[in-house]
Amino acid sequence: MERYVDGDRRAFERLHAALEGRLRGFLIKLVRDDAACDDLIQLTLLKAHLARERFRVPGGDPDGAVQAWYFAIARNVAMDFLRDRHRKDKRRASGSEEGPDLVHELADQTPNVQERGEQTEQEQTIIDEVRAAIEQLPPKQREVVELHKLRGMSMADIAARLQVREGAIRVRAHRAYRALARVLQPKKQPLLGSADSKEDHP
Amino acid sequence: MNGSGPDIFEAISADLDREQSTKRRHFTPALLIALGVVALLFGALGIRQDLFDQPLWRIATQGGLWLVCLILFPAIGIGLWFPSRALRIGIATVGGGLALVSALGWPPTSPTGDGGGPCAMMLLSVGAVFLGLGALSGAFGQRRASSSTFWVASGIALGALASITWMCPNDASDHVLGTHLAPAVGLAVVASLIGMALHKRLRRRGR
Repeated sequence: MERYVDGDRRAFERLHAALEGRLRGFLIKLVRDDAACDDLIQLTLLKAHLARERFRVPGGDPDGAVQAWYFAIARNVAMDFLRDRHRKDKRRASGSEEGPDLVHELADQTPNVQERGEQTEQEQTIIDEVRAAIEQLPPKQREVVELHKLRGMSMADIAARLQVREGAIRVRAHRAYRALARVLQPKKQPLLGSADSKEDHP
Repeated sequence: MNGSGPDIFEAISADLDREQSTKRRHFTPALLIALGVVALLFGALGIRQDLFDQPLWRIATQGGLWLVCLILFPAIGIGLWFPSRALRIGIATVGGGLALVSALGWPPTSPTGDGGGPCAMMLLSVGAVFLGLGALSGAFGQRRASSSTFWVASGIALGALASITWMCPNDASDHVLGTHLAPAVGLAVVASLIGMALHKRLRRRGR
């Protein structure tokens, strides 16, 4: 990654080869849309390229840090895509009940400043509540949630990092997500993503 | 690569190529100026008269040292070339070896007790010019890692050493050790410290 930041094209090619498959798997799990996935990968790579000077290794595992950084960008790209798709679906649904509404079709489709502010505030409240709930977890469960959801690591990578069997990690994750589900409102569960996903859930 | 499509991959690769091309465009004039400085120095003060009377292998090691200090070390330091770790260690070792052998000869000539002379001052003066050139060209801030400054600083010190080796005919080991090699090492240390300070400032300013 350092070499890529310094301008080494071969380093970028190696990084791309190492990350592309994992990014694809990660994005498909989030958006469940193969056709959109290619575009989202491109967007992720582009945003990472433009922001690469800001990448820092916080300490510990540099490879994990690179992956987590890319996954964080991919997650934001996916969330923007899902939000946009939800907005379009909603508009299409309300349009189909009353017949096509050309005024709404032609109108500016981006949320206005007030809507954006309210949306940001609501999202921030949810994020704060989720963070507080994660803080209340027992340390071992909190660690797994942070590595899995906030840093985007797979169960296998977490098990290798913590030097614990993968099965044990999955059990901790299952208990943690169940505890979070009990504490949080159902509407916040999508932010956690795969609490019910089959792949990473024991 | 098909998965993410050829376009963004190629766009990023092209962007990186453009960056490298820009670095080369900045490096070339700096290299030419350095060569010009060396040519002026040799023109003004003259090169050692026994330069081409030396054994061929020694002239070759001195030529190798010029290559290392003017091309290889700066190319690594400013991010024009990204050799593997093993190769970097090899280049550094070879550079150090070339510096010793080209300056001292092999086997080193016995000491004559004449350890003085103006060589140290001349070496440091040449080094100061090279250091100024490196600082003004922004060479110390081209790569993110501060360790890159050591390559640039070492190139500067070796360049000064190569210059004085081609000017001073005194091969006595005490003279070479005291007034060529020791000042070159000191220059490398000082240039590294200055380089790291400049690196910090340049990176903070965003190059």
